[in-house]
Amino acid sequence: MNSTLGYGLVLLGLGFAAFAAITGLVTGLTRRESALPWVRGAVYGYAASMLASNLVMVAALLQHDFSVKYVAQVGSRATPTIFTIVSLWSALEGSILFWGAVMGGYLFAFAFIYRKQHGRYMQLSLGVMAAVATFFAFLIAGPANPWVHLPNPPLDGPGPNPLLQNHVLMIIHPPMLYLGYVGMTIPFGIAAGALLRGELGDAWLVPLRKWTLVPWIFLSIGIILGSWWAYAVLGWGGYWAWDPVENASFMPWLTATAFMHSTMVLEKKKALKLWTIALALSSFVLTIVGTFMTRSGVFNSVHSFTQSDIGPTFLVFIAVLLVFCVLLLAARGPMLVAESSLGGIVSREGSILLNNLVFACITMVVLLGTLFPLISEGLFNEKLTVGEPYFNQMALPFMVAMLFLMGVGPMLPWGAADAKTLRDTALLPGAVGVVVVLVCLALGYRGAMPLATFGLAGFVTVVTLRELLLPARQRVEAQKESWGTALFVSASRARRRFGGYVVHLGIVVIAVAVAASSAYKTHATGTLKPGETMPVGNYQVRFDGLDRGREPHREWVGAKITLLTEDGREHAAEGPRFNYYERSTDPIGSPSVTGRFVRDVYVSLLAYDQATGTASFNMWLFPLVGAIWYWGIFLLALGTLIALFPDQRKRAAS
Amino acid sequence: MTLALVLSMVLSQGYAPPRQGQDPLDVEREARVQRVGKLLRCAVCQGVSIADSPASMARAQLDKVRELVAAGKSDDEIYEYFVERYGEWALMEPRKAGVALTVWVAPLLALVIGLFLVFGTLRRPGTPASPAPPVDSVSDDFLDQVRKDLEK
Repeated sequence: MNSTLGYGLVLLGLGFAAFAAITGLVTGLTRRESALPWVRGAVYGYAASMLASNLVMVAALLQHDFSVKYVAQVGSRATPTIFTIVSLWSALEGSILFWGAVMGGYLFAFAFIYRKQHGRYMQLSLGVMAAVATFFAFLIAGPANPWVHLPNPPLDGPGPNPLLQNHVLMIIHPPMLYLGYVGMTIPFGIAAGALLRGELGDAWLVPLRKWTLVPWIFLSIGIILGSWWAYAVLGWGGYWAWDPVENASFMPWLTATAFMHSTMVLEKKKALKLWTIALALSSFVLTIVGTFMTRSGVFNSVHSFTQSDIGPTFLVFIAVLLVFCVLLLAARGPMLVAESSLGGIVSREGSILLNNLVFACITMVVLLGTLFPLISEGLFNEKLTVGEPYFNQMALPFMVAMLFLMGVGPMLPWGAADAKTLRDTALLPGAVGVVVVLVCLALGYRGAMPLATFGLAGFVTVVTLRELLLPARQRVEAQKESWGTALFVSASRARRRFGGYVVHLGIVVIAVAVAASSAYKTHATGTLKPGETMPVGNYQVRFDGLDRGREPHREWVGAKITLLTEDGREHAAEGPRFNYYERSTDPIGSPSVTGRFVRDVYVSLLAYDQATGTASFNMWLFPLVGAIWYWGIFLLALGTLIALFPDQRKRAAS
Repeated sequence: MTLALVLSMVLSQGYAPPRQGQDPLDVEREARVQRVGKLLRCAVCQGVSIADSPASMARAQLDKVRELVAAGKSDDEIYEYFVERYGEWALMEPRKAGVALTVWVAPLLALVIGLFLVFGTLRRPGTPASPAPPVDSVSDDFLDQVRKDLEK
């Protein structure tokens, strides 16, 4: 019953999407604009069918209807309700179904918000987006169908992947990433629609930018939450391993960020059109490449890939997309010629061009490093690894360069810079940067990379704060307004710029936290008997014996630990554990993370022995690491919200 | 052989790495163990080094590194030991030779080409500014907006 209903809704969605795609593209290209309501209606129909199909799946999961293949695959009567709902995206088929619903939500929002605007582009853009939606609906209906009916349903299922049940962050991390991935379809549709139409008006650039920012912030939050999850669950004491899955989400983030900057040159100078549009298109293509990389199993082994159903389908789709993008850009080349010339290298546009070059190089490092093991094995029959040390060596210098540009760019005017003004504006931030480095040296911190990061962070912070506060200060002086009012009013007058600078501050915080926590961590490892202590930095960790327990969906063995600070005071800490799930033979570790002021004490259990009562630990002190997730997410989200907040003047006019 | 050992330990009571996990060496040599371990890939994990992986196999491999360090082997000899057993695959970063040279050189090549493109797009110093929209070097629409608001 559930299978039939759910699958029927998927087919209905497929029909709506295909209709919207064909009608939108054909009538758009022949410029019969009367068909727009039909396209919009079909988009609404697609969104509704996909949402309904997902709701049926959630219902099937909650009813433990094991006659549905997907429920039999990930459901279990012992799983807590919240994880039962979440298991909608805990395996391939369900996550692609969920993908369809997110796609429906985005398409609905886009079609609805612009129902009275931008008529000339809407048919083609919605048509392109619906074509992408058709592909995913086809995946759900065919190669990755979760709705297969099992004639002999099992009595109980294995439950979702234990790694997903192990931490509450897993509830919000995947939806955030999907919102980021899927959302890139919208700017892709906007850009491709404009190219197909053969026009790229100024007005159409605004939705292009705003609808890139929406998936950008979700992607940012998704990436940060993912690293937080890795840190809090996997127990190896890190948060970023340059794993193919992480790289897959990082690449579209890089190109979308580059786009956000180059679009300023496009809007201001009517130049860099081809490059900017290419970035919008490639952000989307990279989300598809990323989905292919993470979902086809190609990285487990080249051989398991050919056995998976969706891998080849994805490859064909990627090839079609690449051909489509290249042909479209080539055909519309004349439309993308610069209308004005740019200034020299020492100008705002010069710094943005360099920024784009650096982002492109990082993307290249990540793409090449991730794919090279496949290329080398496939073409040269040579199995090799391109791992964390490679990415750190190649990408970190570019990232430090990026930090430098983040300070230089906002200081430079468009066009040409006057040498004297430039010296005056650079003096204070530069001095602060140097002072920061000297203070760090005096405090005993060493290492070129971290010190360069801290110095540049000081430099960028001063530049950014000055840009944020200067307009407010003018108001305070001229109008005798209070600082609060002045800041609020000046921010609301130029939200895009104000929000952008808040995001910059967030990136500075993340850069400092990453540099500090990787360069100045303290590590200790060893085996303890009950009652023994082990030093890690200026803390002592006492092992108080083993402990065990049982929860509905798992059993666990843990170590009781107490944290001792230098002054001899004891602090209770939640102990690290091994969780045993029915579905997995190896235990899943849960490290213990205790935030102490600006550093984390991180204890993970390596091994234990019931007979002797001993346990082996890995312990770390990580300075500042928590700032990545707490301050990073907060500042990025705040800045984006400021930039996206609807325009009051426009609202009043409509 | 190691694998059989790991399996037997997992199946027995508790969860322990083979040989109980050797105790770390003195601070200096242990730092070397961790540094070398960072560059060797865990044989059963997904692209994690043996210094980072909590898997029992990785613990055993890290113990092997400890043993070799204690026996006075050089870093290169330790890498060689692992490459002999597991292939080039065991190195976390590919060597700067052969096919693998591509990953090291290609991004730098892209950087150089990119720099040429950037400087080609930008106006060279000395050439006059475009006659089209005259660029006021101190214009700033943000501040202009503030000024305009103040004049209201």
